[in-house]
Amino acid sequence: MSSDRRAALLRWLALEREAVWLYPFLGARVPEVADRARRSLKAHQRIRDQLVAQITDDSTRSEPAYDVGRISSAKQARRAAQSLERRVQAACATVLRLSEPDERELPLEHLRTAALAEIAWGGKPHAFPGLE
Amino acid sequence: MIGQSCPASVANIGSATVTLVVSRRSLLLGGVGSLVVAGVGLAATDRLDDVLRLAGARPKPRPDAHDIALAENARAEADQLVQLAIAERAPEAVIATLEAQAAGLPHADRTAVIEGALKVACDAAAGRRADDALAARSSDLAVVLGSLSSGLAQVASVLGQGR
Repeated sequence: MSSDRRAALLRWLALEREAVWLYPFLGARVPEVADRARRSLKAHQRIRDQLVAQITDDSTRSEPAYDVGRISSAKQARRAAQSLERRVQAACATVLRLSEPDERELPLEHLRTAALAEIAWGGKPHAFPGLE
Repeated sequence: MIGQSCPASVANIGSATVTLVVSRRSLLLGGVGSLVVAGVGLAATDRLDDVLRLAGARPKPRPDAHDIALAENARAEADQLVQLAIAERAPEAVIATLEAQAAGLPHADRTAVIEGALKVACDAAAGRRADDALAARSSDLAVVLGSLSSGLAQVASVLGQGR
C-alpha cells in the first residue's frame, strides 16, 4: 500500500470514528432522529471495523469529543449528519483515486453508502458527490 | 493545433497525482475533460510522439480507447437521463443534478438508449457507472465515474422518496 493511500485511509478512518461518536450524540440530544441515528451508527461501526482490519500499525485513536456546534433541534441534527456524510464522501473519493484497480471496490461502495446516507438525512442530490 | 495539445492534456489522465482532497475541477478538466481532445488527436499523437523522441523528450502516457469509450458512454447516457427527467417533469433539483452531471462529462457523438421510469433508469445507470469505475484504467476517470454513480444513486433515492 502506498504511503499516500495509507494516509488517505487513516483520514477516512478518523471520520468513521467521528461518526461513531456523533450519531449516539445526535440520538440522545434529539429523540426525533434517534432511530435514524441508530441505523447510521451501526453502518459506521461496520465500516470503522473494516478499516481497522485493513490498516496495520494504526496508532491513531478516537478523539474524546468533537466540535459539532449547537445541536438542539432535528434540523440542526440533520445538518450535522449531512456535513459528516459529505466529508466521508470526500475521504472515500480520495482513497478511490489513490487505489489500484483491485482496491477500488471498498471506497467505491462506501462513497455510495455515504451519498445515500446524506439523502436519508434530508440532503439534496449532488452531481458528483465527494468531488468539491 | 489539436495534435500538439494532446500529449500535455493526456498526461493528466495517465498520471497519479497525489492530492489530499480530490478537486472536482482538476479531475473533470484535467482528466475526463481532456478525453475528447485526446480522442480527436489520437491518430496525430503517434506522429507527435516520434517527434518528441527525436527531440530527446519522453512522450507522456495517453488515454486508451477503452477509457474514452467509458467517458463518452457516460455522457451519452447522462444526456438521455436529462431528456427523460424533463419528459417526466421531475423535481427541479433532480433535473439540475442530472444536467450538471451531463455538463461535467465530455461531449459524445454517440447516443444511448434509456428506457423505463426515471428512478429505475437512474438506478440502472448508477450500477453501470460503478462497474465502469472499477474497469477504468485511469484513476482520475475511475473517481469521476464512481462519484457520478453515487450522484445517480442519490437522484434515484430522492425520486423514491417522492420529494
